[in-house]
Amino acid sequence: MGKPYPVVSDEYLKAVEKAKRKLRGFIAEKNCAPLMLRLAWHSAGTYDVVSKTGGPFGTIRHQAELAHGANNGLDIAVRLLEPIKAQFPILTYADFYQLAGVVAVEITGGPEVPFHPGREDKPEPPVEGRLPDATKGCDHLRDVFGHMGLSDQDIVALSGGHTLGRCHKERSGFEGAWTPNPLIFDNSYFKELVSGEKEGLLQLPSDKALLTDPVFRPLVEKYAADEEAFFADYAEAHLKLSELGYALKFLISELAI
Amino acid sequence: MGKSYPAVSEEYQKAVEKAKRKIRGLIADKNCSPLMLRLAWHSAGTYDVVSKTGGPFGTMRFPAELVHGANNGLDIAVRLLEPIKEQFPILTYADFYQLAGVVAVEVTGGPEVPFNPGREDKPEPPVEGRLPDATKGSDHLRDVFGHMGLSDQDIVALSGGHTLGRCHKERSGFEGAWTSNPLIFDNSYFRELLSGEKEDLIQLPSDKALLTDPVFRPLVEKYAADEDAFFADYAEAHLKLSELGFAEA
Repeated sequence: MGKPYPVVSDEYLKAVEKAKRKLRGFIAEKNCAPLMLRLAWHSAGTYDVVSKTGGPFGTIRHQAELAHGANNGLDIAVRLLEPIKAQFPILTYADFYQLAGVVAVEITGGPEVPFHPGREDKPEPPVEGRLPDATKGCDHLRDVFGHMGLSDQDIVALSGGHTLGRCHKERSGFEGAWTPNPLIFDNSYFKELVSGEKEGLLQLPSDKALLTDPVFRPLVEKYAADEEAFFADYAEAHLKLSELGYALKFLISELAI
Repeated sequence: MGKSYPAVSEEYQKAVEKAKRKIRGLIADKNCSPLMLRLAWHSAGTYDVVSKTGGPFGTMRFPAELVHGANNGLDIAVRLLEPIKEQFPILTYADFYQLAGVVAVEVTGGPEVPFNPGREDKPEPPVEGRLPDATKGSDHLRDVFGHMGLSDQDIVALSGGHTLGRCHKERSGFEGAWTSNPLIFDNSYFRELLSGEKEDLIQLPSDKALLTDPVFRPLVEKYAADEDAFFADYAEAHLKLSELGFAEA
């Protein structure tokens, strides 16, 4: 049905390629892949399929959205990225932040999630409260991800993003990394989850909830056993997330309802 | 001389893709991109076009080659990579070490150097003495790189690899980084070279020699002014280097 993505200029495409290399170098040097992934995810995860508000449209750079409790610490990410963004005025913040998320996964050894430029920057940040609460369980996860239009499989695969990074007491109230190698993207989040709690590693209530659900648990076990399967499903889910509310396919899928 | 690449199995190609991701993760975790690039370069740079000995054929893992003075510290690189290599027994060390070099450049923001698999592992390390001496000048550089079959442009472009990393007293006798961002691949090596010596940055005699040569200097100036031009010439030179003695048509 024709091209699902907007057409961007050659100049824009060149800027994307250069920015991607600058992001790689920067993220490598600062070891900030986890923070970049969280920035991209918290940008996109505010999308609501019914009202068509929120989503990956550059609004997280505004103080109003950075002040949301779920976004504690993301002011650091926005600040770190600004000098690179300034070299590429042609790029939208919407595209730039999602590019950072894709690069963060790639350079830490994760799958190569496709990136399609053309997101527009929107003026209005979303209301607070759409991102998941780490103290809650499966019903809450299905509610939150359902508002985005994402599936049970997406919930489990995206949870695997906790292979990167750690929680900080001063940001979320929780402390610690999920895996012994928080700068490497692999399936160790799932392996840790199925093998029980370990001294020095973190499992949030929302992580542990995956083990008790009859649909989520088999997926956790599949990804723990098969990293390639995890990477394939993760790439699909990350792509969907990074493109919520964006591109013709959304208009098409909405017309079909 | 054209290239005629060997066909490799799908299984081999899949292993290359997986190994590439694992190497990215290792480098992200350990910030060891400069060491990986040096491993790849010192593996390949021993190639001699006349005798067709040396080159990127996996021999660097042998103690006989690791003990060469020029390779001080590369035992660390070999050791860091070994747990990943073990996951991919199908890959040759020759390919694996060159893959690490290509990945090191990519993940630090450098150009994407093509990688063509199919190098075979050879049993004999090269004789010692073919890699460049940091205390020497342009004649020496032309001699060393000439034995590899590389050009003046390649010499300057590859010198730009000093955008990554640092020297260590206990390895080379020199100490310090060339740029203020030794974990980012960009053209800052050339900009630093042209703007004179700086307090806490290093310029080897072999780096400074580029400024006094009538062919090398204009290239240094070009790359300092134009990062894209540097990246293009670097990618070409790195590809040639990584394929010395391999896939010759």
